[in-house]
Amino acid sequence: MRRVSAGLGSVAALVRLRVQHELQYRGNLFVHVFQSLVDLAVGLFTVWLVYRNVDELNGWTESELLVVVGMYLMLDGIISGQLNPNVLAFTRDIREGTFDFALLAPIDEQLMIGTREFNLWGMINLPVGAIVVAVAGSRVPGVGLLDVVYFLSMIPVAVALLYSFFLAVATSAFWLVNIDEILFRVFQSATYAGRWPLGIYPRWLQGTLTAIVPIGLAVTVPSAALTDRLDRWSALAAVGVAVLALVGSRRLFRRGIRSYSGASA
Amino acid sequence: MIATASRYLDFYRATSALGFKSFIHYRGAFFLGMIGFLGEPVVYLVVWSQVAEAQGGSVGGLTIDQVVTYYIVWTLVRNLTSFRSPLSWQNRIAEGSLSDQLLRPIHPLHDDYAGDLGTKFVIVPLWVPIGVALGLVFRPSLDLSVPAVTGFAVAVVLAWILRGMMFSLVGLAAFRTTRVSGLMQVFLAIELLLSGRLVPLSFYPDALATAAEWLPWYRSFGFAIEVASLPMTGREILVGLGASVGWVVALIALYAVLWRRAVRHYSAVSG
Repeated sequence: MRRVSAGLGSVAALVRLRVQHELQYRGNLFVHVFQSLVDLAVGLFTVWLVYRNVDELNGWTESELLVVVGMYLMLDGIISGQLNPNVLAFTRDIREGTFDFALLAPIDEQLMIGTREFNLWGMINLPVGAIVVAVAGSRVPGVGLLDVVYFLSMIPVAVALLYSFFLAVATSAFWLVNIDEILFRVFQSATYAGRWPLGIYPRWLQGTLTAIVPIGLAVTVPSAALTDRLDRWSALAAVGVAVLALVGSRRLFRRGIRSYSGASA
Repeated sequence: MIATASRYLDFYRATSALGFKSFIHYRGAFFLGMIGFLGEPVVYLVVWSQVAEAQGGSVGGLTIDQVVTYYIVWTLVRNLTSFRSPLSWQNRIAEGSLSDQLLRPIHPLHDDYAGDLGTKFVIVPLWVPIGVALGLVFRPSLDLSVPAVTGFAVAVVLAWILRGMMFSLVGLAAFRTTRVSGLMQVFLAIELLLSGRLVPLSFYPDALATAAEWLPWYRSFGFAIEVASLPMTGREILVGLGASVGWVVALIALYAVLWRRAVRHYSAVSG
């Protein structure tokens, strides 16, 4: 219990430190707001382009697809603000041998490498996406309070899936060393794949976007919950997959640490 | 004149060889990255093929076959027009390594181009198996006529030069601000919309498509793809190449002016 409390205390201190660091660059807020609006414009424009030509895309109406766009933006905020900076810092540490310092810290290594970086302004897509989901969701017929609760309960599942995936990719740095290029491309692919619901893809691609790059699943599960497309068995299955992903990525990370010998020596 | 050209040629030969060797060292990681990077075009391909199917086999004047071919050629052009990130300018200034480059008797931009050129000799062989696999899965219908292949080769070289100039122009912002990542993201979003990377320009409303055709982003990406994947006359290809050359010249001139101003502001952050 004391260990957990110490860990949480350290995390709070790290976050505070990063927030103070980010506040030094207040001008960046405007750049990130502008960037977020551009992201939003790209998403809305793409949906508009598609629905200029068709009324439904594989059963998804325009409003329903906008819920997906909003959900994607929310998760993108988490990726840009939290996951991406930490993964990049971690892989740099592996390459340069400074991961030794994380190993010497008196808190859990996974907790340490997952929380020490925080891009405050990068999180801007989180509230922007929430607004898009709220507006688009209100235009979907039949959405009620229970659907909103269902949607909110599925967000931790989505975050757990993404976190596990990013941790697994980052862990490969223990063996591949220079994975910045992979990370960059994977982030990019995730960006584009995540803007659409899983159901529109052929089965082989659905499998990839579920099992290998789970952004599709992470975006689709909460969106489907809000738009009355997610039955309880599918929801339970998603929870199970998220738990398995968390456990699996943790085990992979521990195995990676065992093979780490430091690069600075 | 000849002596100068020869010195530049030697520099390009040596620096691109260095770029090739340092890149090939991480070929495995890069190959995996290339596979991961396929997500973007495959998603576009699937979405727009579905839209075309729903409309009876075509969208924006392109058949499903042409949509498929466009996005497969897209994967090659995307790799061939990749360039050193504008963020590298931020790092060079922050770490002071630009000071070294400024002392050399050659502009740092040549270093970027020559180093990047070397990486292309790794990228192309790595792309071939991916291109073949995509071809077997999606069955594209490529135009392999001499004008199309020649036009494509020239267009893609000009696209690479143009994209490099645009990236370098964005990188000049690093002389005024310590962080250019935000600006770079905005640039990439504009590029996504106007270059033909998101969709072929013919999917846009006519006015927007026409405007985008005259902007440099399309010349740095979509035009080369269209030469290889869509039916174009020899005259259309030549006019397009002329526009690409025009943009290359204009951006080099703009860069020369802005570089002189930017470098006067330069003072290394570290010693």
